[in-house]
Amino acid sequence: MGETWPKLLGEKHIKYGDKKVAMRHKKYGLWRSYTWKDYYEKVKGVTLGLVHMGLKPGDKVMLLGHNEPHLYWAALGAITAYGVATSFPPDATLWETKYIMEQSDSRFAIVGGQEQVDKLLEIKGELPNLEKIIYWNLKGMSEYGDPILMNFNRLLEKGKEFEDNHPEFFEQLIEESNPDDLALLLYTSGTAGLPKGVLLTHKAGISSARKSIAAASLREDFEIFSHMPLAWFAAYTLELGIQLVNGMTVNFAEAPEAVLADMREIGPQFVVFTPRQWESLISQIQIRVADAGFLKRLCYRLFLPIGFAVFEKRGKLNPLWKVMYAIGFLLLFRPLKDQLGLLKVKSALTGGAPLSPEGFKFLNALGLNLKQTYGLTELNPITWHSDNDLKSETVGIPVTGTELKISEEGEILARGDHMFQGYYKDPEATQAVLSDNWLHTGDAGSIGPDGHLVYNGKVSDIIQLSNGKKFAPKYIEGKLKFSTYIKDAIVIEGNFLIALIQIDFETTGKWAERNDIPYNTLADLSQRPEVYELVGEQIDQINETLPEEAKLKRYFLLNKELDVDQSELTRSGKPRKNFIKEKYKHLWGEEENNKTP
Amino acid sequence: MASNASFDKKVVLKFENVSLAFGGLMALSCVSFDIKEGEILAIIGPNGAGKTCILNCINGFYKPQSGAIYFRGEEITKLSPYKIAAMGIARTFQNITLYPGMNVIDNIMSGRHILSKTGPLACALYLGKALREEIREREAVEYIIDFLELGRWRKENVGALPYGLQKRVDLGRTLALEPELLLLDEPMAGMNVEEKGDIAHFILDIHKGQGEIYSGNKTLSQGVKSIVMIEHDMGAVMDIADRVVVMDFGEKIVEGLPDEIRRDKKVISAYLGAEA
Repeated sequence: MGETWPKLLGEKHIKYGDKKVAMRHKKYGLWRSYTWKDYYEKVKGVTLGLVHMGLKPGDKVMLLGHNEPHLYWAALGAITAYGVATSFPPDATLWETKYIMEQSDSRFAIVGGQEQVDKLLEIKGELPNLEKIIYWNLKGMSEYGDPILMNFNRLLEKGKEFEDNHPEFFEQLIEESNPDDLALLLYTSGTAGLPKGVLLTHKAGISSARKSIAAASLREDFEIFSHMPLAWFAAYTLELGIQLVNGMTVNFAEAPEAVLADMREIGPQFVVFTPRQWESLISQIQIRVADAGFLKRLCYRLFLPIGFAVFEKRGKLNPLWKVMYAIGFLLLFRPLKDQLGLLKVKSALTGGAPLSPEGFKFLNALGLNLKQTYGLTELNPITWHSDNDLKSETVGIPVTGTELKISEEGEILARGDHMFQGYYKDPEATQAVLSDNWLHTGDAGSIGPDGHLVYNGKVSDIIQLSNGKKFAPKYIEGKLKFSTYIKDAIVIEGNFLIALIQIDFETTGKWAERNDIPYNTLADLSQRPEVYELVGEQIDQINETLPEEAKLKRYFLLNKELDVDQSELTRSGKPRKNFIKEKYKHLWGEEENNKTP
Repeated sequence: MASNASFDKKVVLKFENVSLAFGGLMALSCVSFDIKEGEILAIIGPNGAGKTCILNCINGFYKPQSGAIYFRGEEITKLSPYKIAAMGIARTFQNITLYPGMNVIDNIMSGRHILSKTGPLACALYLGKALREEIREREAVEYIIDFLELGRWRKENVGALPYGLQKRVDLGRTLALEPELLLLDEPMAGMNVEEKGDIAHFILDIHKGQGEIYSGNKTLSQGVKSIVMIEHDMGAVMDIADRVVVMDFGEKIVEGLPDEIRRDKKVISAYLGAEA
């Protein structure tokens, strides 16, 4: 019949039983382990508990919570009971949660704790399909008496009751699970509008995980760290999925804000971060170096260029370089990676969107073996860097079983055996992106002679320069964002190119302190003329590398951070460009009008 | 010594005709009151009324000149502070008295010292029984850290933490002692409204017990049933106290339910001001 998520779990249970740790969770300050047998039993409890409560095949089970083992048990339990696991990031606003709950027709919600429960209780009157809210974190819950609520342990007990009356039922469910059944309903980040529900089968998910394992050369004995919201397909494939296929151990932090500290205690061999997270790591490194003593700063200045050079020369190193790199490794790269908890990393990845070439080179200069990948919720992964073929400007070559082409309009089209089944309750949108059996990604790109895909951002973001040439603003944005003092940048096309800059409060703040410039808040600091000049210098440097028509003519410093809750960013941290353009157009509106001949 | 039989089972601590003087200054004169099982008792009064003296007498820092204090029927008036602590009476201090150079875990761990059963030599060698005990104690402390939401600062030196957090660590250390009676000396002093609200919640949650979720820590799961709290914030006192004792110039002027106290003429004139 082929592979399904539950069958993979069953296989691993037989293979490892209680001999191998499947999950580790830091709880009450200590790492607590769950073997594959524990994992299997918990999923059994959830599955049979849901069946006992009347879950029908195809029913949606909403998962809302921070990454904890319970979230995995719940997801696999829902899928094994022939339900469809659906989820959304736990920090979603009330409005977003309501939209997703309604759109998905969720019958059951399995949630972290009080915060999620409060949200759902507030909107439950408007959700006729919702029958039960099951929560696993008991903190603060003792006073809640609403009958719609249920303790996670009670769900497991119900599962046990059901098992006592129906022995072997769970095994039968696993045995008869079908790879072509729907398993996941995941939502797009919604850069262009409302999130769309992407339907995915067992087969699509497992195929994605297998492709990722091959592309990143992942091994069974690796430790990985779960930190991406399970709402993203990347979390299903690159955390839960690869674990079920490969049997590696997944670790969970004590709390979302403790991820970096807890990760250091584990030392994972494979890490995935979004470009935003990598960028913030880079700026952390830069801040620490700037604050370090003379010797450390000297080491950094001396050996970082060697790291860059070694990355450029990959594989073709003469003995002298090898010796220099070895010294650099001992004095700089090793301690630096150790501080960040990345010492044992054998393979690293940017997920969600590509990282700027500058950031990519920097992290590879540290020896992180960072690769880029390209994919969408609808089809993931599409391309991946292969070993020893890392190119900073590209997102790699198509993964096995995937085809790629560029349409005449410059749009990336792709297809593969791990394609999605369509958008939930939206056949028109499905038809629109799958018209000719190719997935129309909506992204602009080009394929080089080496077969590598270059990603240029959204098709709708591509601008036409005054000389008629097409240009991807993403290219300039990447360069801007790599500057120590710039956290985010959005390039907008008017009569000329304009950059909206969000300064990095921490680094710019330190710079201001060193230069005796007083400030109190981001709003204050970002509007200081000295800071405006500082950013201007950075922009001048970048302008020198750009063709005349693509040079930035004006720039504005935003006096606040771009905010997810104000719809300026998507939940995955991508800027909603059109929204931002509309919101801030007053900034440059007047000047433009004045200059129009 | 009073016989055990004469005690009301419901009384946890009896404060009987206690007088305390420093030279000619009468700090407490003939003060009597009971602390009952399951109540939060607030002691209020203007500065210098003798509130902290009461706590210092209960936990053995001061030895009153006359009168007696009984804890569960046993006289503790003349016992030394560490013996009283070992009986299950823990307290926090108005001025924080933590170890500023030690981290949050170690500060709270220090509260468990009196529960330790291994000898100094075994502890120094850190083998077998001592190691197992250390791990068990650490686990008990981690529940407290989780309850008081101190996880993020677990390994930070206490001296570097803001005041509000230090107060929380202080509270954590008393919980580590697994007390039956908790004495809190101005737990909300110097805090803003939000922090006061947090502390009030913590106190109520400690009193109520958290059940299943903290099954690994007896004190947190079952709660500390009797709590004495000195507090200046009348709003907080009215919200969380079951009964109030009002002190003025070393004398107890009245005791009763919060609502009665609010209306009491003597209290109004002595403490809240004549025209309240």
